[in-house]
Amino acid sequence: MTPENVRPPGQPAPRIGQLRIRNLTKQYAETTALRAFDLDVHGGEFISLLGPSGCGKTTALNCVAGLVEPDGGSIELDGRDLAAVPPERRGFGMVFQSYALFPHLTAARNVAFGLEIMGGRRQEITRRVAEALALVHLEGMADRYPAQLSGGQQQRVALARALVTEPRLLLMDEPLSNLDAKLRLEMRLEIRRLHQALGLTTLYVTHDQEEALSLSDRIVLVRAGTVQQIGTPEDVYSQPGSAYVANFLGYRNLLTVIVEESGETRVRVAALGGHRFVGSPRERFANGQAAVAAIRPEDVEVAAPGEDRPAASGEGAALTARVELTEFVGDAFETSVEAGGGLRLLARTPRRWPRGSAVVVRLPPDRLLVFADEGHA
Amino acid sequence: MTTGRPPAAERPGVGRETRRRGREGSAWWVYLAVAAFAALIAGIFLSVLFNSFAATWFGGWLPDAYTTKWYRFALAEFDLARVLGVTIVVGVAVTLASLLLGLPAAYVLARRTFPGKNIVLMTLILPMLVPPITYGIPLAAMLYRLHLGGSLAGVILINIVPALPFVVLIMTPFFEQIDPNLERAARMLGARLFRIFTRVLLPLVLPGMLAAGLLILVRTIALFELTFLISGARSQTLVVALYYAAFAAGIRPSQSIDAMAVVYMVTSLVLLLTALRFINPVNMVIRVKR
Amino acid sequence: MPEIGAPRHRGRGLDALLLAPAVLAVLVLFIIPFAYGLLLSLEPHGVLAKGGPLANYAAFFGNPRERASIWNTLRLALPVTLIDLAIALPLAYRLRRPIPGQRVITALLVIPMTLGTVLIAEGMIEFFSPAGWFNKIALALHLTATPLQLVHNYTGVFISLLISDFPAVFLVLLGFASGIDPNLERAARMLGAGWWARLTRVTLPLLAPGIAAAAALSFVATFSVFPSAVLVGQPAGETRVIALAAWQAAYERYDYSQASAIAIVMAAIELIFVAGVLVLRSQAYRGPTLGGRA
Repeated sequence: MTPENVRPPGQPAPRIGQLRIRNLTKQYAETTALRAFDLDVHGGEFISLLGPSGCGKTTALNCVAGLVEPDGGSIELDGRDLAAVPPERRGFGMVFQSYALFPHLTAARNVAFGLEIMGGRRQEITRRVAEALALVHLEGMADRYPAQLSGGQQQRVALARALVTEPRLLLMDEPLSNLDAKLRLEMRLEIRRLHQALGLTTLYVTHDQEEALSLSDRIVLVRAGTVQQIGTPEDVYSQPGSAYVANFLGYRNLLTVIVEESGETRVRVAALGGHRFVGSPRERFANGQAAVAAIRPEDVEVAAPGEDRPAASGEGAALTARVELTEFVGDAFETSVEAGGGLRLLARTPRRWPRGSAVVVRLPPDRLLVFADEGHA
Repeated sequence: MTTGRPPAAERPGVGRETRRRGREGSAWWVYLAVAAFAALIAGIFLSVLFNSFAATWFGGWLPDAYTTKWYRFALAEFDLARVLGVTIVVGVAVTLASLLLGLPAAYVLARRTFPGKNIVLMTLILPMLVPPITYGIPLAAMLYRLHLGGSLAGVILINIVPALPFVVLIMTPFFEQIDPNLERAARMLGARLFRIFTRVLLPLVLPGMLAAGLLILVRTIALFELTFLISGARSQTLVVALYYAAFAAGIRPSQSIDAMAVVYMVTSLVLLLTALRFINPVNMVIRVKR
Repeated sequence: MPEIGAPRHRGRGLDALLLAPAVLAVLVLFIIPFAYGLLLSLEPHGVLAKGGPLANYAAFFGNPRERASIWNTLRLALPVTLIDLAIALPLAYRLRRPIPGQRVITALLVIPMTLGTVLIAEGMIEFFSPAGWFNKIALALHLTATPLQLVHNYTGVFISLLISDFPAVFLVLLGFASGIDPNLERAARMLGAGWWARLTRVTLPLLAPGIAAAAALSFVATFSVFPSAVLVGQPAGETRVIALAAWQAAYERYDYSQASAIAIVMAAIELIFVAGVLVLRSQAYRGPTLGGRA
């Protein structure tokens, strides 16, 4: 969306130049949480660490925060190694998944906490607290205790508390996962709005691809303690680098296939039931190699027999299939089809297909991405 | 600048937090304090143990000679067999009675809300908040008036007072933790009240009951003041007999008193260690919600 | 969480039936005797009968030796409570995150608690006697030139109470300390708080209810000291505690009325202390009792 060096008008300049994470490793008793984790974060960027639970994204965040000491590697802020700097002196703001609001302090005192630590005149602190609460639309709640606030309100207090100290870097650990769906969407917009207004460099951890896609300037896909792919949301979404990434980003059709013939821009593969497809290879393949073909439900074309469009050049033949079930998901239907031999596909269709109807299915080669099979779980 | 860092020492079981120099380092002083306390306790108990086996001990580090005669002496002199019997009877009776009284109440408190619930809860817990001597004296006075003074029944009754709140306190969270949907499911499957109780609730509650029962047993055996106020010569528990023996220390040889003390210690410790297999010691004092 | 819409095959009647035995037991064995004791104390016995309903209390407070029992007991209960709190607090704080051997440590502390005051006192007679091991060690380490008189005086009772009271105080504090959300400390660190700021602004305020509970528990237990005051103290003199005074009234003078009055005085003093602690605590901290979960 926004390249690093172009800022929206009115957005303040970022307070850091660059955060360099190099070769970070962390080993716990039986698991390797981080393994050669590398990342560069540019000032003003909103970066999401996306991955399933246990992939190491939270550990990486905690290392940046200073709450966890890595076993190896380095973290440098504008050239300065942070290894010797304890978390209380790094000047980073952090929002926790459970909000971690001090239960014995009012919302205002919670927000004021960091400012009181830094010292300063009472009037100044009061003013800044009021500003921060207004920024997150919580003006009337200053004297409430966390227990008297709803989940969404607590979250906003947590945000205000982290922002009021004008941190150099904002760290967020799955802040929205404890909220219900509607609130989550609202807060997502809030966070985006705040980022536009403040231009704060942000490192955001989540397992929700929608959040990552909507909020980030760049997404970092994390797998088993290491970085799988980095890119802008559009790049990552349309050009996932591996079956793992594709799986995480909504390519819900993952077919185990054998490569029959592979070229520069096209590859022919054989799937379950003997069905053949033509797709776009994402790496070099040898004939006979096992691979994974991925396509998004919205890219799967379903038509009634006879209404099918003519095949494009280089495209394989259409598939005949039977509709297994249709699910209404509000703005479309999710239609599951079975194409003989056990091959199942999930399609996103504008209309409802009755169960059992015969249909014709096409997988456009541009959208059928073929990756090496490396256990994409 | 810096590229690699030597791996930080990773202590098994310790929190994974950053361990900077000077902050929350090793807990050596904790171990030291605990060791000092343990040494003190061990010293106290061991000197009792040694003395109970001492033929004579004239002030050296260890007894001059050893014997087991003091145990036989104590057995006869303090009527230990009977006292042990009384102790066990009292302990078991108090445990059973307080479980019988307390379990249904704990169930209702766990499952229902009703006006005045807090008052009921407070009432049931109240005896635990007041020290035994304070209510023991009026209670003993009343029991004597009812001609229960000095009797086994009196001892059992008086000991129920601190035990009952304990049952309620421990078992109510236990019942709360049992999913009420289990009872509903049983009902949907056609079970009636009694069957629900025996087939569903009881098995789930049994571990808690055992734990609570063991704890009450241990506490009742150790509780001195109440039994002291009401018991007669034939209804003393071990701890009261021990007190009387120690009180009259000039008359009886200290070795025999210590022999009785050892018997008491062993009984208590056996029960305690059994109880500790099932319960976290912290929960003996305060219910911690995790 | 109590279910309001719990299975409906029982009516309110059955609830009452299930609650009744326990409530009745407490009523009959605790509340009524307490009330009985109160009334009894207001019906002075024997020579005091002419003095009106408060004669017992007047006699108790009027008699210097009886009055002194309050002070004797306070002299023991207050310092023991404070010292045990002071020792237990840093230990509980450090142990809020488990360390290796945590369970062994807590088990170790529970042992003296369950063995009880009588056994500890009785054992102390041996261990702390002039010829006992403690003195032997002290002499060997040249900590003292002559054996210390540690039993059959104030010191004996003091030590005995210190030992028997510590485990409960520690465990209560530990329970509260480990119930504090660890993320709160992390959040405080991220906001720039060093260890002192974290201690004073986060941990101690959140521990305040625990400290109050431990203080109340400790005082109430130590103020009602009895067997150790007799066995390792000087029951006729400096450790004539108020519980002993009550007991003597009941079992030596057979004046149950006076004894009840003294018991009521005991209860009143304990109540005043607990109330005081609660007031202090509410000054220090307003908010939920178990600090932590948002």
